[in-house]
Amino acid sequence: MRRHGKWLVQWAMRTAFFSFGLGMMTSGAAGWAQREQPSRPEVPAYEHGALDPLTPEEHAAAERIARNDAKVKQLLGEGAVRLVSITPVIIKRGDSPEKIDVHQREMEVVLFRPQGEIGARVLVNLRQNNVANLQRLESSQVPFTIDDLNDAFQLALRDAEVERTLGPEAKSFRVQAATAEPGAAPLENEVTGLPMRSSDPKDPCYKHRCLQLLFRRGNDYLSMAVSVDLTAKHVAVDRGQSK
Amino acid sequence: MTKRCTTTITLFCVLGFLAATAAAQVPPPSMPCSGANLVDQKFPTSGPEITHWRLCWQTVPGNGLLIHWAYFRTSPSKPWLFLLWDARISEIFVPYHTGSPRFYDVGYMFGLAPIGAKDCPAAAGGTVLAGNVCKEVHDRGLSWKADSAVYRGEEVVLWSALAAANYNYVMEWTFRDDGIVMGRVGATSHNFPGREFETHVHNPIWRLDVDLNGWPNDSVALGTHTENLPGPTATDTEPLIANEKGMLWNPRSFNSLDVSDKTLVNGKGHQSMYQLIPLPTGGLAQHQEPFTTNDFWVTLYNPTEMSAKDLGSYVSPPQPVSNADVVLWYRGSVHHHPRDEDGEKVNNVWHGVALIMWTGFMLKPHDLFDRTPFYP
Repeated sequence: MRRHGKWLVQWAMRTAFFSFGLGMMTSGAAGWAQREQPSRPEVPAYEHGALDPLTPEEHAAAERIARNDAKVKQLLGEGAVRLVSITPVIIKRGDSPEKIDVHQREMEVVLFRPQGEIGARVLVNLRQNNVANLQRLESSQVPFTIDDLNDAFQLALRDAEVERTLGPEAKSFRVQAATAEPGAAPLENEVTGLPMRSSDPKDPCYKHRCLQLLFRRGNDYLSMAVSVDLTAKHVAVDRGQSK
Repeated sequence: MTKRCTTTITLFCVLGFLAATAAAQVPPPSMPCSGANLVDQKFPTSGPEITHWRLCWQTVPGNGLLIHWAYFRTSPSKPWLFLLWDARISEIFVPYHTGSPRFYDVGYMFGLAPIGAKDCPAAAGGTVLAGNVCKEVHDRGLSWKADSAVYRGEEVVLWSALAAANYNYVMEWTFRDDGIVMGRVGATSHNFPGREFETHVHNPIWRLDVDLNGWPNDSVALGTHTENLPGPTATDTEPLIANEKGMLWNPRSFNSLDVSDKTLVNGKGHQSMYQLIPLPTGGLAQHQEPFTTNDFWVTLYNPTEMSAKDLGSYVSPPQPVSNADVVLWYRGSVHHHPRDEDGEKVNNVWHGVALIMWTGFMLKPHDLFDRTPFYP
């Protein structure tokens, strides 16, 4: 009986130890599995990380806050102001990443007023519904957008040499829009643009906003380009060289 | 039999307990991203963890694919090491040999080219992520070999392609099992219309906000190898970079930018570093523009200083960068001398594409591990 009792105690201890060990392993494995889980397609807004892609609502709110801010209005005026970009950003605060709120939702909004070519970088705090920081941008610091491409193409279409070079299909070209789906056929006639700047101080494009327009037909490009000085509204055809 | 069984079970429990405790001691760091934008990759991909990466990616029109908050862990029992706050291509400058045009390809809000299963096949370890990003987890070839003993390494690669008008720029970020980070840009697609045969250079300039062990207390040294000619000896020096400045990379000096944190040492008590090492293909160009006259730049962190073409103004007047929050910049070059393999002109239309040409760099750990990783 005494021997049986001793065995019982040992059995109880082993069982308890085993259960404890198994429990710890299970919790450890569960924790691991949690870390290894594949990405979730939908994340509730309150769980968004600071750098997660914008929702349409956040995009609209960030633009509205930036455009309605008194200092932004003072800088850019009341004229036509274009939206260049809205990007989620995370700001370094404190002295270590552990002290940063990884759910902060701050947006860098870049605006541009073509008239006078003035830009603004606006830091919008979505949680506080306000502008946290404002920086004036020179023309050269503002990236080109599809609006600039449209302007450049419209200027080019009014140029006789461009019209002559492109021929009757000139008006069939469309500016390159958003990214196509994988495998989708490209637009038959598409115009794209590249930002260019001269290194010659005598060249207007040393300071002006200049785009070079390229014309794509299906998968191939026409062997020509058109330089457009958006600031001076000047157009020139570049026929390049042959081998 | 019973005794042996009991011993086995007890050992199993103890090991399980220790494993669970170790895992519980080093919880994963909180990240500013979730879902598909969070990459959490342990190595080896099968079997118990040895090393581990945890990082965020983001796509931004113009800059393309960005990396944020990269953490690395050299073993499950070691703390997570913060390495990168932000890594991105700041500019791609493309001057043509005749002097004009001179393009700034990140100066347009270009989107990313579509990516599908053909670009990123599952058979190559690929997963197409939302936003036209491909993640590949795969074998990377030999990690080491010692006669009959051998280990093949693994890596996780994130890439996307900036659709920059006639060009596509493949932007690639690789995180290896041995702690190395590699950044590459590949230029491909159509030669510039009208100047299809004119030589030009694609200069991607990376802005690397390296925050080793967090952002305060980082310093940068210029790793320099010197052959003491005439004579058989050589020396290595690492002069500290005291103030913001630009520097040339000399291949004969094996120059590297060596980042250290004054509080970070490995288990042997050696100061840990990450070295920025260029991986050029052929060479590095210099042009008339002041920001291209240097290959390396070191600046003090400033969230408004993101544009490589303004580097000259960022270092004037130069501020101290010792025990500070530093940012590294590196410019690579792709020298594109057109060839018939790029395509042909048919009825005034260019038909064909330039095959991909690469340039890049690596960030290599030095005295971060206590011993050879993945060695028995």
